[in-house]
Amino acid sequence: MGATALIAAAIVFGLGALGAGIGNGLIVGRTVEGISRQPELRGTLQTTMFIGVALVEALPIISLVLAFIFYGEA
Amino acid sequence: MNDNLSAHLRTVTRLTFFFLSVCFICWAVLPAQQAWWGGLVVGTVASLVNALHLAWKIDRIGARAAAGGNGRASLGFFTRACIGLLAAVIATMTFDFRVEAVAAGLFVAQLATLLLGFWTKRKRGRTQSLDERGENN
Repeated sequence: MGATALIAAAIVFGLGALGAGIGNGLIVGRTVEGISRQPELRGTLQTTMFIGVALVEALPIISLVLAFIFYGEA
Repeated sequence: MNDNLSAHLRTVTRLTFFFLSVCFICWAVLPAQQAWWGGLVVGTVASLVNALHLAWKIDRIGARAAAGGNGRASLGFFTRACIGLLAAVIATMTFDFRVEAVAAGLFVAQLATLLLGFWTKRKRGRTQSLDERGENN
């Protein structure tokens, strides 16, 4: 149980962080590109970015807590 | 901070505080499940701190992009991950709250953000279609 739980913790946080990294990169990249092209739309683009990043990042943060639970059970 | 983002953030904060008050009322009414309600409260507070930190970072990135500045900018993901982990550690080690409830609470501000985003988009789309038909004059 111990080693399996540790592997599960590593997988859950690793894959969560990988997905969030890719998602965040896409969101931030496109938003910065949009703001550079049209600075007057900064407010709208930032709000959309906030919603997107908040959603993308919720999953790895929860996966970190899950990893913590698995680590505690190991 | 930008007006649009700050208005959105104010509403998210208000919704989160409303959820916190519901949790505290449930904690008082149902003391048998205090480990769950307490965990939910700790997770929700951490989630609100995360949302405020994220808004601050996004505003900085937007200002830098609008000014055409160069250099590296980070979103501070590990700071927020550590805030979530700290909430879980405080809830379990100090107060004996349920860590599952903390994990659920960490999603509250993000869920409020999502629902508010859908609602704002729907409202904007409805106003736009009324403007196009000339019914909003």
